[in-house]
Amino acid sequence: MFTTVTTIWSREMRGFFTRPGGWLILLAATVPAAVAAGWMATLVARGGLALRADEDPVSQFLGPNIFLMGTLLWLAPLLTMNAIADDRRRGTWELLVTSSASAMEIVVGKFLAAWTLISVCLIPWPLFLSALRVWNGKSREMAGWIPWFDGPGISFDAGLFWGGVIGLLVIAGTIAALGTLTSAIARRPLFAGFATATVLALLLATSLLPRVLDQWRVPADRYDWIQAVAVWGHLAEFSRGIIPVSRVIGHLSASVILVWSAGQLCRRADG
Amino acid sequence: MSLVVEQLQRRYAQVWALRDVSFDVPQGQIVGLIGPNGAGKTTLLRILSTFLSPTAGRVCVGGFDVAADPNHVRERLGYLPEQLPSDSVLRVGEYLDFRARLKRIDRRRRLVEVDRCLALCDLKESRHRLLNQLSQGFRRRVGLADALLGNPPVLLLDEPTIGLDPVQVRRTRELLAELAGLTTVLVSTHLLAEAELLCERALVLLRGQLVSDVLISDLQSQEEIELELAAPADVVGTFLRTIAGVTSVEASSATASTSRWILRLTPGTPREAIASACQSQGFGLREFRGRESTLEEHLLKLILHRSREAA
Repeated sequence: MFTTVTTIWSREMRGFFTRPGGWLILLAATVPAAVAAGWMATLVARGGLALRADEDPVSQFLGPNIFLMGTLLWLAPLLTMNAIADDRRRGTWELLVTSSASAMEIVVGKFLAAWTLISVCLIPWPLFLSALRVWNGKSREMAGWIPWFDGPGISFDAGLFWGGVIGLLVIAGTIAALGTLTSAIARRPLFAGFATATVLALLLATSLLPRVLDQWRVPADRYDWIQAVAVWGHLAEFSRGIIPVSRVIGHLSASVILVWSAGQLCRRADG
Repeated sequence: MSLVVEQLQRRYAQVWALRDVSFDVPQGQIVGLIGPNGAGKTTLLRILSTFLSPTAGRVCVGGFDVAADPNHVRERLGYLPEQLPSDSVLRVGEYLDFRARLKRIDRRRRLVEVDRCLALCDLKESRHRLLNQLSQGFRRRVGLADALLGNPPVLLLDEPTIGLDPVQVRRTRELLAELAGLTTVLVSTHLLAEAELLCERALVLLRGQLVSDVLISDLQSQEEIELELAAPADVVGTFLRTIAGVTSVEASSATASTSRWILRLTPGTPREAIASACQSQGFGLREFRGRESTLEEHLLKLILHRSREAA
């Protein structure tokens, strides 16, 4: 099992990094992170805010901000849509599943590759946040013309950083599993990508629903269940430095169920 | 038996792709799977390769049931599907290495196996070329090299020589002939002359049914003569059937004054006797020649017979 999964995983990784398109996606995923970091650096420089758990919106850098959510909305469908649907389209799926590898092993390999790639494309976010350790957003001119850091870096709560990173990793796993499932259902990669984007948009809408219901003064205990599927809300929890074990288990379980369903679907669709 | 197929049925929605197909193949035999388009050849190969599951019936490869034990079946199979191998980032050598990993060939043997299969399919010089930049014929050879990886006891080949140049067609035939006796090979092909050259036996599928299972040597040993007589068909036909040693008479073509016939004889019947019998009746003998029955004729007869039945 392990050998097959790693073989599929390494093939997918190689497929991404040896194509110029892969690097373009990575670059495109870095741009919103850079814009968000620039925005935050400006905010910090002007207000002298310290990055602490209770200080919104700066603490939301690794949380549900518009740049990060927007990135995930296009990144996840793009990186997962080809996982299985493209092999079916090209007819190479038949060769894959008639080797000694089972459909489940192949699906797991492809899911892990999608998870890794989404995570790799999100690396700029914690990297930019780490940059604030040495830069407080202010600059001065050294020797009259060279821009340089002005003053010490910002010290911020490590819990925020690691909570956000773990949250992103866990949620990236769920999204990768969702993309793998839609790629297993769809016969064309484009349909798979569209389906993943639609589901992610619905999850975003679900996350906003509690706020709307709160405005309408609906008692909170009536929409508790929405919190369980409000993925962006979960990201907000993680980015506040909280790592709720139940959420982690919930996301990992959801990933396992989605990947298992994708494997079963592949077996049945062929059979 | 290396391959056992019993009462196999496969249905796609409302269409029966295979109906009550039964046959078995002993280890080391090369068998041709022939039939027109839509006969069910690819479906049969896909079931044997475990890609599709049967709707009903039992299929065993190397003693393992394809439905109950697909993993063991796959370990014993080399499969060249209709679809050519395709990969935009891997080179030929890397692709075969990737396939060898999926086939769980251990690390030490993998390099040797890849080299062996590259050499067998004349691909050593193309080892470092990108797979997707190869011609169709080259990719077919890569597919064949992939099927041969690990020296599997059973090979399933779907049109293995389509797109190959004449030299490679001959090389592939020689390669498969070398495997005879050791590896069981089931070859689906439209090239009937190739099936005659390559296979010991032919299975004919028509509309999902196995309508003939014949040894090529039996087909070729059937004694037939073709003759043209200067006499109308209605006069000659009845007479030809009465000649000793004639087992079947088939009108090939006729005009008002001549008729052409194909006679099948019992082995050992002297051909001169047929000629003299015709001449004794005063039928002018315009042409007389012995002929071997070909797989193509066999298939065409079966198709004709089926369409008559259907009509």
